[in-house]
Amino acid sequence: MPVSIHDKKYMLKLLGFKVSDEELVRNIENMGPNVKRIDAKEIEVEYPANRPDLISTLGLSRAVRYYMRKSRSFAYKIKQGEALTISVGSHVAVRPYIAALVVDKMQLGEDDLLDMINFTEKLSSTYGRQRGRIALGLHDMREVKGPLLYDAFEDEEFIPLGSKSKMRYSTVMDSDKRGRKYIGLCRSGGRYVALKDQKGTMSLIPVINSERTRVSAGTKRMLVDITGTTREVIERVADLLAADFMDRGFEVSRVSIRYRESSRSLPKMETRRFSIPLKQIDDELGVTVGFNNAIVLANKMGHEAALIGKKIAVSAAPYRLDIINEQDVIEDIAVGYGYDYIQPVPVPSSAIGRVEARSEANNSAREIMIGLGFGEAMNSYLTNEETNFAKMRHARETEYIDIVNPRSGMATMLRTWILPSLLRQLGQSMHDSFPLRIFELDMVFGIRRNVPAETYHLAAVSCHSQANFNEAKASLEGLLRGIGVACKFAEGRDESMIEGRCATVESDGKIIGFLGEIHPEVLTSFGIEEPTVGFEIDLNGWIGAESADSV
Amino acid sequence: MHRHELSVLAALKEKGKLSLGELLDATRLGKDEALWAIGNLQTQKLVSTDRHGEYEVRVSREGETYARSSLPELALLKKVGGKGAELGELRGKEEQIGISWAKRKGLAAVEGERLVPTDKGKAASKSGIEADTALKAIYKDGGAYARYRESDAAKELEQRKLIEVKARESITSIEITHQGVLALAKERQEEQEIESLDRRMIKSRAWAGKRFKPYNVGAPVEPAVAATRHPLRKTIDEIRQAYVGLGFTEVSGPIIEPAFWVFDYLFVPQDHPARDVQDTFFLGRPDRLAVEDAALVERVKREHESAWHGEWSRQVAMRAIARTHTTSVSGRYINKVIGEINSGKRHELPVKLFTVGRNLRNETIDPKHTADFYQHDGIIIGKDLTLANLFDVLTKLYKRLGIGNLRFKPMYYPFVEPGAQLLGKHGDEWIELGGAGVIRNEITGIERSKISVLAWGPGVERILLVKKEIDSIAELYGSSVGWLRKMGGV
Repeated sequence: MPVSIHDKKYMLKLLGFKVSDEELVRNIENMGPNVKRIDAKEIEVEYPANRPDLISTLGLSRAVRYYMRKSRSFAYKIKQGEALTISVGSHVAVRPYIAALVVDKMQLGEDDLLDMINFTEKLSSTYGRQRGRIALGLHDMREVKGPLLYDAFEDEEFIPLGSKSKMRYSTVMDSDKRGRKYIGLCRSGGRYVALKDQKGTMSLIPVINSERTRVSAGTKRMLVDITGTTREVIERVADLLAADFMDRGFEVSRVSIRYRESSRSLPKMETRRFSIPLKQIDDELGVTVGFNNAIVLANKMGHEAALIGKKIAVSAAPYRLDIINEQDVIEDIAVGYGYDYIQPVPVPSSAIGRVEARSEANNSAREIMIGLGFGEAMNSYLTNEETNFAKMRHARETEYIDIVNPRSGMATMLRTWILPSLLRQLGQSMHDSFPLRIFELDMVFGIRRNVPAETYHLAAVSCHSQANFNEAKASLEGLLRGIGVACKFAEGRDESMIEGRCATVESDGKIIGFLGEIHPEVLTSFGIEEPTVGFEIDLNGWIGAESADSV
Repeated sequence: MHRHELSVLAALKEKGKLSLGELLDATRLGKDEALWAIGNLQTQKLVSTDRHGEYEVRVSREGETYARSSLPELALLKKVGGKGAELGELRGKEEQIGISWAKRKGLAAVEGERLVPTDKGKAASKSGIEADTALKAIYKDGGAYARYRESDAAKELEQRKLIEVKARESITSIEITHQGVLALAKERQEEQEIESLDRRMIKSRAWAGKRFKPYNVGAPVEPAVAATRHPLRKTIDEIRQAYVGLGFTEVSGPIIEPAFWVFDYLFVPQDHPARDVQDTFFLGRPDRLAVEDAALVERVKREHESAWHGEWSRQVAMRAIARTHTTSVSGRYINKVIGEINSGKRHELPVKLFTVGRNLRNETIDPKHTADFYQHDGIIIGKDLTLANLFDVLTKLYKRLGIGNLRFKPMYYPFVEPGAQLLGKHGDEWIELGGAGVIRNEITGIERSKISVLAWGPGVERILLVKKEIDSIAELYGSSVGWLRKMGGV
């Protein structure tokens, strides 16, 4: 979950009532977020990814106030009329949508400004997917002269935020770290996405604003632009921001967006209404909520609610981007009710449980290996070509599953056999008392006719001064007899084994594996200092490739 | 001859001259036993020893008093000075002792009623007495005794019980004597003890009337190592048993999947961070996997586009990946069972399924982190299922797994609504165990009033970490044989 850090003093100021750390943490956590840390100065809160309204300290304190029933939600009233017009040009195909709002009567303290900036930054990076899905810009309206134009432009000059001199778009893109990071989001066909007013560039989107429209604590009137790839998403975010500003006591007016074919007056401040039978709520949660209580619970979550017949009519808070359908409202009522108060109720069922035939078969083979004195090992499914092939003196095959985005050289492919994993473990165990005997029964991966094949293998190794071919053969025969597999041995060859001391195992006319003495060069490459023997067999034929499936 | 003596002689005969330590190793006798045997053998002159002497000196309480002042005779000489003193004035206990020793050493003589120092006495009162000097030195440092050991002064101090000396000898080496060799040979001829029983003896009853050579039961041995199941496997099997006990049927599914079953079917939007290259392993070969059910793909596309508004890409959904959670298995079965119900197949509801399986997440791999981890996923498909039902089944499940104190808190996962996080009490702390919830209608494609699905997918290693003292999950995979032996038995 993403994390937001809140100034505690500011938080308490916004709450407007006294609360102990313990009570505050309990209430925040009961709503869903996790409090990672609380001290004299800060509160570090992990918020659910679908709740960007909890990023700002204002948003979190608003939720806590309602949840603790210290205040009721109110209907947001947006100012009549449109404060500004933004025309959308024809070149912004990479980032076709914009929304904007104008904030009036602002009185920003340093802490408000900081909270607002943190909010918009974090909103763009998390919910906005690193400014790909949405990016935000704040501008001081004093310097803005409408109407505005949103489009992709040829390379030109402006003074970027924090800079003293003019720079070209292309220079900002190439020299600025952020420019390079976001370049894919804003340049298309040699043009750059930007927002301009009558005086020039206001923002090179989504990289940097202009110095001219910089917002400060003295800003009284502000323009917020929101750009992105999905109209619905940026328009919902405009609602979220409008609510946030109104909750700070500011006024918000709409901005008219003129696309070529249509125009929008934003923010819409749309209220989503749901009408849910009370019985449905009770039925889904398994508790009896009660009529009056249902309204209180909806209010606790910041929603307007009323009873109409046997239904509860809920107007969802406009900043709650996560409320899509009535299921989301019912969840909110459950959260308001408090998960701690939902008493467990058994599911009436007379079903009889059953394990899968395959896992039972595997466990019986494991049991025999343990009886033969081999301890069970478990290794990663991931390996690299070095371990899987080179150290085993094998040429690199082509039919294996490789990973295109490994984070380390340790894990570049899925293992095709288990023996290398076991030998690696032996190499790490030279200080343990001998004999060393381990086995593993688990999955290996390959490709058969362009389709991934997941196969159960069993491999075992025995390492001690007297280890020889016959020991390996004795163990393998013991295993196969134990699991009821008839087999034949024939002279075999594997580059990882000593020539003349290797055999294949055949069952039902198919070679299912091999055994032998591990080649000394292989031992050396794994750091093994004593003779080692081993075997590896494919168990899929025995287990049955598919589990008995009669669900 | 006692068996300890015999084994000492035998070892010395075989190996020649040995140090005590070597002898202990060779005979596996305890130190007391060996010293006792050596003592006996030495008195019979069957072995000879080289010894290294050491002394332990203790100053008696009386000696301590004098060491802090002086010996009484010296104190006396100093008191009476060159002219001597009336005997009548010297009635103290120490003075009496002083007089007696001064006289004996010729330091003073009694003349009439006076004690008068001799010339030797006068000199001594200035330069001191050797016994006094020695006492003071030994009192200060017991080691000083070595210097005085042969001197009269030391003997005198010992005699006067001012110091107590104990000789402590340590054996540096032991050797068998010629007589010892003969004695051993004789003893061996007479030996009637049975060393080890064999088949012939059992059949012929040759053991009757003989003595079995006893073992030293206290002697240390190298313990045998038990082969065991892996601790993680034990936990997995405990979980499987717990599910079966609650009436669940085990299922499984592929590890290599198209992203569709891991994400898209589960309503995870295509731009969700969990689908990043940072979190998910994308496969190069094969790079795409098909989803057979075209109608299902179409429905998923519709649901995504209506909820997340962006365009839903078939290409992205067909990318081959390693599953990042076993919820993909739950998803496949939700789709299968609800599909069958919709097409008229009779299922006895609720259908209760579980899987325990391995997943891979694109972690930076180091000694503390691994990409591999296990999850157990359960689903209940049925009518009229509630959040209260979900809490009940999870409480029962974890109780069976030894975690009796469970809590739920709201949590967001894209595939459930409502969603909950499970927390288990471990000591004083609440530990996050994993997620649960009611599967979204967008996934099931059916109204909740008809069918709803409870689902959960917590981690397996967490349970192991809570119950056993394991530092990190990474330890569980590919650890040394020594680690497996240590942890396997627990």
